[in-house]
Amino acid sequence: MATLGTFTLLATFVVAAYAVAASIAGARRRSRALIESGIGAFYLTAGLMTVASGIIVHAFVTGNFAIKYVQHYSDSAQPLVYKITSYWGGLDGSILFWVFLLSVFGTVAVASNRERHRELMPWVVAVIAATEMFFIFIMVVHNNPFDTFLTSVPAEGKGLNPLLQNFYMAIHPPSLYTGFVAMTIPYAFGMAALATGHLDDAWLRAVRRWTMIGWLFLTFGLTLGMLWAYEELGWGGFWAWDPVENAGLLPWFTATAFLHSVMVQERRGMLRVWNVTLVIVTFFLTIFGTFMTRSGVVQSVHAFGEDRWLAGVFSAFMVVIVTVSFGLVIYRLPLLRSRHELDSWASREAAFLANNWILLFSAFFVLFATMFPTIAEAVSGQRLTVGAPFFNKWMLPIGLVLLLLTGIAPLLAWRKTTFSNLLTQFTWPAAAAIVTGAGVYALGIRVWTSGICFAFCAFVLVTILQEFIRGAAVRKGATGTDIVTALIGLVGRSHRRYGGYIVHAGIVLMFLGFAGQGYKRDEQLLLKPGQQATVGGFTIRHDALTVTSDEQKQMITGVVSVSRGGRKIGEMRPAKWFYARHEETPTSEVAIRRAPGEDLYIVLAGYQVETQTATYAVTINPLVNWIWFGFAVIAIGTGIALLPERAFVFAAARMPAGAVTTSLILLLALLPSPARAQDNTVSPVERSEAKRKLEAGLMCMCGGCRAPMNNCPMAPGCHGLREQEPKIDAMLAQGKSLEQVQAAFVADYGGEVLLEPPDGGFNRLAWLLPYVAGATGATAIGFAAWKWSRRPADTTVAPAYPAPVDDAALREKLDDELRDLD
Amino acid sequence: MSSATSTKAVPSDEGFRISHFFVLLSLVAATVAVILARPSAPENLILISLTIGAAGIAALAFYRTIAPLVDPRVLEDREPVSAQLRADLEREKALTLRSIKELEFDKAMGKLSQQDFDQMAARLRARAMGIMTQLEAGSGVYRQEIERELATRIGGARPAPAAPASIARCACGTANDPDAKFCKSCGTKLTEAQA
Repeated sequence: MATLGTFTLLATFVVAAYAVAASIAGARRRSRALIESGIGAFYLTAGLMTVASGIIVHAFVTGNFAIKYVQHYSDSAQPLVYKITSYWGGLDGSILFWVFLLSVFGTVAVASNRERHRELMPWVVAVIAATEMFFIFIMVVHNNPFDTFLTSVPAEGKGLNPLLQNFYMAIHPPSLYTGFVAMTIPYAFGMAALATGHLDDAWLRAVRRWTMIGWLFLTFGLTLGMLWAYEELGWGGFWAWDPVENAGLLPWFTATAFLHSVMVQERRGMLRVWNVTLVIVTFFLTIFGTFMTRSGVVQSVHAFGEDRWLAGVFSAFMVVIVTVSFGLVIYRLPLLRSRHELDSWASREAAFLANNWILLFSAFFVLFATMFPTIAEAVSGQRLTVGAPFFNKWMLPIGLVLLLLTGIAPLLAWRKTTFSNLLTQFTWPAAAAIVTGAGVYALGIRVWTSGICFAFCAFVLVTILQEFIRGAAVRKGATGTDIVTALIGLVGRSHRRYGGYIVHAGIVLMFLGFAGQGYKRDEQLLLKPGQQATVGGFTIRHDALTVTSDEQKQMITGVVSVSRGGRKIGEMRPAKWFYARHEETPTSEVAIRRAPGEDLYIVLAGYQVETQTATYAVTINPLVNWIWFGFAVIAIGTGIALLPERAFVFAAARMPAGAVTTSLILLLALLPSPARAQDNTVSPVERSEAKRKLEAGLMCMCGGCRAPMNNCPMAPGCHGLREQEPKIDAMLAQGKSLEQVQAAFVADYGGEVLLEPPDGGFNRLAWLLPYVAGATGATAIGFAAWKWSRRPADTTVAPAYPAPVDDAALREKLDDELRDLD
Repeated sequence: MSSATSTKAVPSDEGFRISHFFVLLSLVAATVAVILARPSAPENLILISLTIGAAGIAALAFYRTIAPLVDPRVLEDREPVSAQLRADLEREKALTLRSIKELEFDKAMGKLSQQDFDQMAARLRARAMGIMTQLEAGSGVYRQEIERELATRIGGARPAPAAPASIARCACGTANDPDAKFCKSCGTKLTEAQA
């Protein structure tokens, strides 16, 4: 079987190479036979990769431990589902999976666009097949998933990492990969358009659809990643700015920017070079993200480990991509030139420019901050850490501005918005924002970021609502139907626009969840059986500690009764699971009581079986469920935007909503049951403000988690924390200041221990560069806009099509057809 | 309609496509494999069958790779050029018409000034009319194509008629069917001379 697999890989490489050669030769010599043959070979790669996938999955299911990859990532006790998902659990398999997805997507894209964009096809095939070749090359030479043991074959596998044996983890990587891979298709079309010189707006239409699909899957993958981190890692949060998370976020930013700026090109014919650039950059970032994750150049929880060879090969590939892509762009610049003009700053175009600037800056900043430790090490030889606090400092205001723009831009008119127009459009949203802001203040939430975020959320939601209502009213007037029919007709007809608005609403809901993080609370409780403590209105009583086991693992479970206002609302069972052969890294099985307002999140942080005492880390997470719910709304919105053309796209867009349903079912399962209360109260483990600050700013040096001390998933059993915590306590007891403690830690552990790089020396770059980049970007955009706005307004119409004879009959016929369209 | 039935009736091998052969082949192969691997869990058997199915698809794709090189006739067979082109033009037209509608809607929502609306609408309308003329002018070409195809299918029993002659051109410039009595565009009565 393994031999067959290796043979399939080799054959695919040859076939892909043939596809590239035949397509390019066919395109140059205008030979239909060669082009068709190339397309056939391209389909063949998809067939062969499916066979290879079938072989590896079969090996997993039958437990063929002669294959190294199978032995490393599965064992015979694993449930069938996880045996199958082990396919993409490791480096080699994930590359195979990548190529499989790419070949299937490519086939779908080519088959559905073959006739419509015939002249582009050979180039599309060549670009995708070349990308496939790169990844197959890596597999054949270096990371063959079908490698076998030469001598003794182990009788049992090592088993998939227990952290990955989770429902969300089973679908999170394929979703992200799907998003990444889907971004290759727009790139291939862009390259084909550049190569052939067919640079009218036709290729954009094919591309936008794929970008939307890719974007949706990226969003889905990122959300699932958050959900997984939240449920499985047990530190109470969902986003830690880990390099691998950032790798998924980077193309998300640029793809979002593209989806917006492409509208400017469609409407106004502007920004053509910019759009091609965005497509290229997005593809580049997906490859770069893969490079970051696979090669170990950055330190991360989920990087696959250091690999110099891979780093080298990927670097070479990226250099090729950049050179070829931008070479083509420069070569075609004369064709890409378009007439830019900007009439007013208060216009939709200007808002899109601002949106692009912010998204690109976000991408740049995240990229820079992720890579900074590597750069700094190369330059100054000193390892340091750029952690969540540094990211949050920047991304918080950026996120808020972006949210505000989400509200403002749809209200602005193309070209120019008059003052009276502004007034009518902004009255209600602004009023809603002010009322919400005041309301939040009155409720006693004093975290200014959260308060502003709530106000902006209200602003955006009201603008969206207003768009729907006004649109429906206009349509009602035009068609003479009732308001509901008008609304449905409205969404059905301009599905892209209104789908987009629904996506915006989903984003707003997500921001609600992010704002909630501003005032979350966390406490540690050390409880004997029967004792209880109160955290944020919830009374938590430790009832018992149980030890059980099944064939895969041993489970230590804390039984906790939760009550609120004297009424028992449920029993929760946080646990630690020790998987066989992975005993040193137990998984935290978090108990979560979900509610729209706030989640009660309990982790069994430590225990003593003999005395039955348990340490619980309790977190109150306000509004966090709105993030998952927001994603469901985004999926629906994107589904509507993608809706009419083909049914399979519709099906793909709807699938993600299922995961949220699962969450909602979980929510129902955790609903209350009756019981009694008892008085045996202890207070939470005392942690001073200074200690909290230090724990948030210093990294746990256990070597595995690279998380802040208060977020280490192995707490409190973690050996790193056991060493660091008493140090902090002792120093604080001596009356040392925060800075002194930090300095002492740097002296002990090196600069790496600080999550924000200290502001000085080479590190000053980390603090300065974002300002510089932001200002440069703003200046560049400002300059371009200024230049464009100075062009004399040209009123002549340049028809894109040869002007037809202007005959009255034709005009009448057009009017007829337009009337029929309603 | 009648031509459709007749073409179907004449060639006997039209029902069997090459893809059917590969489907049958992989079904047989899957059956054999399942019988050979019999004492096995159901998921194994399903996987084996699926993999063999994929292999069948691969084989078909392989055929698809080789065929255009060996036998150029394959190219023509799979090529309803005119119909495809026409469908594309229709699609393009629908998109343009929808854009015009959207523009009118924007205007009604108060997001466009009259001047901008006029400018953009003029551009889009010009484009739509361009496509419509193209569609109309094309109909003659399609007819030629169909006649030619028909002629080859029947086996050259009938010489391909000179297409332009068979089209009745009205005074307004519209191309009408040869047996048309009135112009489909302007409604003028067509005389024998025009037909």
